Amino acid sequence: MNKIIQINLSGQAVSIDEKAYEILSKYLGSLENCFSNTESGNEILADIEARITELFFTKMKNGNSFINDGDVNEAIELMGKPEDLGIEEEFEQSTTSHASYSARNKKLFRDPNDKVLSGVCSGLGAYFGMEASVVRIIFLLLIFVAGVPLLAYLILWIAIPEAKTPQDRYRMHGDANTVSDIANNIRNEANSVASNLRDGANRISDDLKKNPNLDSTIKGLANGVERVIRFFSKIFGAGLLSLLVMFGIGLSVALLSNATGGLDINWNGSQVVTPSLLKSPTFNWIFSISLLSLLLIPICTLCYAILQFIFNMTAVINFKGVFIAWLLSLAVFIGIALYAAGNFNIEAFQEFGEQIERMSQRQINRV
Amino acid sequence: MKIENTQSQMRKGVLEYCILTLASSGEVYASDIIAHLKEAKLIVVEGTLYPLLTRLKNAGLLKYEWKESDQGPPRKYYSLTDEGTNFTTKLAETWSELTTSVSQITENK
Repeated sequence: MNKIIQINLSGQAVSIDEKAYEILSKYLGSLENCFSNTESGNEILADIEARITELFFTKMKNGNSFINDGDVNEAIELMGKPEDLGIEEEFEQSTTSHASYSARNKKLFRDPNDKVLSGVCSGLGAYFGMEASVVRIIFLLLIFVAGVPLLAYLILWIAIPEAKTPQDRYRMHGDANTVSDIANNIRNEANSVASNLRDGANRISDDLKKNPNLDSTIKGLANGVERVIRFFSKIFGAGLLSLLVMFGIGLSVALLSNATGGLDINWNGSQVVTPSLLKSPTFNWIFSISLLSLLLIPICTLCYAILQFIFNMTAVINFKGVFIAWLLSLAVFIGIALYAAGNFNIEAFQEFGEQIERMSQRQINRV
Repeated sequence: MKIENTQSQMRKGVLEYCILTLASSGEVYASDIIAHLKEAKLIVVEGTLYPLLTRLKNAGLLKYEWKESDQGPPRKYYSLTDEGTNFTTKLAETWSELTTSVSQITENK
């Protein structure tokens, strides 16, 4: 037995039983909770209340003398529970998740419309949210100070695709132009790894409860594991990349200085010039350059592949061309090594060794 | 990254465009808009629409008029403002550009 009461809903008199009234007022209360701190929340509430009233009127017109709990539940089903309305999503997540979405979406391109040489600097600027000229100045300063970015620049030039279509240009800039985008990218990736693991675990327990068919569970798990592996291999790749670049730079400095006739070393106050590998300057030059390209080609290719992997680039490496170039430098190297076998600067090296020995002796004596 | 977030973001932009297009046919009642959107499977529950309508109205794109109803409380009938008409035309252009771009991407995959 249920008491029937008269209520005022959107200014209309509605007959409703007590149980239905309880459900309805709970529902409207929950809506009020989530709309109250949003802009024009009261207006939205009034609209929804008016719509519910209208639904009730249709019921009563069809012969119901009052509204029961079934009718109320039906109306709630139709309007949606607060969690179905996506309120938080609308008013809170819109800022955070949108920013992260665009940051994730950002890709590294060379900017053909804003270039001095190849657009590497402007592309990097767009990626990190800096002025292209600032990146250029940093690059130039670093080249004068250490010469280091020259090789990095060449690798980037080859590795980074040019922004050709409007979509490319959009992805080059993204929405959120902040310096912390890289950090965001990494954080997002880490978050997605974490949430993937969590989701995967939840899904497994859910699936096991629902049905014994493990197919989708395994798929979900594999997906999560794949992401974890991807994330960590990216970090590993970045480490490997910096090692390779440093190694490549060291190699270039050593061999290029050999090619141009030795390096001045200032050791304990006395000048030493490193001897060149071969007696003949011409042979020496060809030998150094061919050895350099022999070693640098695979290193650069590897760097390129790692860069592609880290920045999710899709361009395909022309392995055939790279291999042919490498074979060519190998042939030159073997040829020059055979031809100049008797030309090695053994005396100069012996002298260099004695010089070093004398100097270390001197240092020991001083101590 | 959750698929639900991406999906709802995709829908959200499209939803506003659809509501404005539906309102461009003259004076429409919220439940008419809902019926169309439900038929097109763009929304599941009616409650989703009311915050959107209010937001579009606050943005000056929609206006409404009260009309008496024999089936309960007075109803709000929505129509586009001048600004809303401009806005909808621009959105229509963007939408056709987008469909071209997207189909270009997905078909040349």
